[in-house]
Amino acid sequence: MASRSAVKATWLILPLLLLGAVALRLLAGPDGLGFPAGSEIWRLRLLRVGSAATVGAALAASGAMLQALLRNPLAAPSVLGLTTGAGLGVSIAVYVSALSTGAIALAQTPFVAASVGALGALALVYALAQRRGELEPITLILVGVIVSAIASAATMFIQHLMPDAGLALASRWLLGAISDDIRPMALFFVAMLTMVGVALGALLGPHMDAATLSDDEAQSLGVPLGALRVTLFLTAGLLAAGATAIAGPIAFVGLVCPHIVRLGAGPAHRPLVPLSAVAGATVILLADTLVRLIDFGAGRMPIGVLTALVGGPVFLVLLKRNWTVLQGVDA
Amino acid sequence: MTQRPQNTTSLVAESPRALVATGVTAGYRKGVAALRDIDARFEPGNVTAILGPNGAGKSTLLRVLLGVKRPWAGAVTLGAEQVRSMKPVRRAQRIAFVAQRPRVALAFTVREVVALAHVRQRASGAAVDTAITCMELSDLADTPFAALSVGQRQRVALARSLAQLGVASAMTSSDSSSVAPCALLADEPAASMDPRWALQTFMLMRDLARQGAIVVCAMHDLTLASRFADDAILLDEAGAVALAGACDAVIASDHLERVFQTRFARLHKDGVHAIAPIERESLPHGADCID
Repeated sequence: MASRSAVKATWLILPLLLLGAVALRLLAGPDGLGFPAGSEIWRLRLLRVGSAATVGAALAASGAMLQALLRNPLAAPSVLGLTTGAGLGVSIAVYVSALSTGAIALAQTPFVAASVGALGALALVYALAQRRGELEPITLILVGVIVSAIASAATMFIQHLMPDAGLALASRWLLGAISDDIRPMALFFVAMLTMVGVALGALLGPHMDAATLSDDEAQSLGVPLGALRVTLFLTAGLLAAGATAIAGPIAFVGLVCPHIVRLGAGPAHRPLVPLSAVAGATVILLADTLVRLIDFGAGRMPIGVLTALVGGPVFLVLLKRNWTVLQGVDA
Repeated sequence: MTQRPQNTTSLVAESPRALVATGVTAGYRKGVAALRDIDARFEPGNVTAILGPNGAGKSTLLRVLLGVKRPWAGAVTLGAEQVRSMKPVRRAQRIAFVAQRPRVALAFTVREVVALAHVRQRASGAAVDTAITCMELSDLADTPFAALSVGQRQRVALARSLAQLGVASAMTSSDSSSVAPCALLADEPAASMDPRWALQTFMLMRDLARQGAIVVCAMHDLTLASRFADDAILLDEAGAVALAGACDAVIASDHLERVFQTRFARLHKDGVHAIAPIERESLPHGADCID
C-alpha cells in the first residue's frame, strides 16, 4: 500500500525529475550539452520540449485511463493499436490528399485523421474482445496486438503506394519521432487537450478506482459506469490521437509510466493520472535528449525505436508478473 | 433484537418499506428468459434465501433487485420507489451488493477496496475502520486484495457493503437500535468461506436483518438456509418460482427434490437441521429423517 508519505514523495520527486529533463533537453545540442546561441535555436528547442512533454504526458495519461477502462494492467495506447491506428488514419489522409493535390503534405498535424484512426482501433478491439458482455483480459491484449500489427502493415502498404515520399512517411507514421517542423498552433491545441484530459482523469479518479471492481459491484456503489466508460474511451482515444498526430506512434510509454507511478503513489487514479502524465513527459524528454546526444552516424534515431527497445522487455516482465491475474485464475 | 416467529410467510406482515419484485421477466439472449414472471416480496427484518439449481436465475434475480439489470417486464420497488429510477447515489445508500466472486483489477489494498464503499458518499474513514474490524480484516488491511483467497475476498466485499450502508457500527456495538432502511443483496456470500466464517457471515446477516434491514441471499447450502433464513424462494430450472414462503416449509417440501432432481436426507440433532443431498437409492423413500 502506498502510504501518504510515499504519495507525497512521488508528488515531489516526479515534477523535479521533469524539470531536470526539461533543462537537459534545452541544453542538449549537436555538440553535447551547452547553452544554445541565438533566439532561433531557443525557439526550436522550446518547441521540441513542448512537443516531447505533451506527447509523453498524453500517452501516459491515456495508458492510465485505458488500464482502468479495460480493467487490464497491460492495456496501453500502443498495445491496443490506438497509436498505430492513429498512424494509419494519418497515412490514409496523407495519401488521399496526395491523390487529389499531387503533393505530399507531411508537415500538417492531422489531428482529425489520427483521432478517427485511434478511436476506430479502440472500438474494434473493445468489440472483438467482448465475450458474453465481459472483456476477456488475454483476448483483449491479443486482439490489440493483432489490430496494431494490421494497422502497421496497412500503413506500410500505403507507404508503398507513394514512392516519392514513402520513406519519410514510413519513418514518421510507423516509428514515432519528435520532429522540428511541428506547427506551434497544433502543439498548443494538443497541449490544451492533454491538460483537459489529465484534469478529467484526476476528477474522475475515484470513479475509475471503483470501475476496477466487477460491473455489478461498481454500479452498486453508485458509479454511473456507462457514462464513465464513454468518457474514458473518448478521452484516452483523443489523447493517444493527439500524441500520435504530433510524433507518430510511440510505443510503451503509455504502458510503463502508470506502472512506475504506482510503485510510489499506489493505484488510486486521482493521483495516478496526473503523475503518469508527468512521468510520461519526463521519459519522452529524456529519450529525445538521448537520441540528440548520441550520434548514430546515419542521422538521428526515431525516438520510437528507443522506447520500443526499452519498453518491449519491460512489457514482457509485466506480462509474466500479471499472467495469473490475466488468466482469471486470480481475478 | 426482535425474534420473529419462524413460520412467518413473506405475505404476512407486509411492510411499506419492503423490496418488491412484481411480474419480473428478464434474460440475456433474445427469446430466452432467465427469469419468468417473478413475484417476490422481501421484508425488512427478514433474511430471504434464493434457492435453485445452477442456471435457475438466482444471480439474475439479484441483479434485477439491485437495479443493474433492466427486466424485460415487471418492476422492482423499494418502499414507494422504483429501484431502476432511483438516483445511483441514493440507491447506493440503500442497497448494497456482495458478488459471488469479488474482483479488483489493479493492486488496491483491502482497506482501499473497503473505502470504495464511499466513492459517491460523504462518510468518515471511521465507518471503513469499523467495517474492517467487524469482519476481522485488520491484519489484512494493507494486503493487496488480489493476494487474498476467494473466501477472504468475500469477507472484504461484505465489509464494504456494511460500510456502504452505514451499518457497520450497529453491527459491532451491543446496542440493538435499528438501522436505517436498507437492503443487502448477496450472491452466495459464504460459498468459498471456511465453516467458521460461513457461520459468522450468516449470523451477521441475521443480526443485520433483526435490526431492520432487508437481507437477500442466493445460496446453495440448505443447512445454512434452514438455520438462518426466515423466508425462501425456490427457483426452478426455467427461472420461475417453484415455491416461496417460510424457509422451513420450502425446504421441507417435495418441490425441493423435484427442482434439484436429487433426494435429500434431513437430519435433526440438538435443535439443528442439516439437509444433505443423497443418491436416489441410498435411503428408502420416506425414511429420510434420522434422529
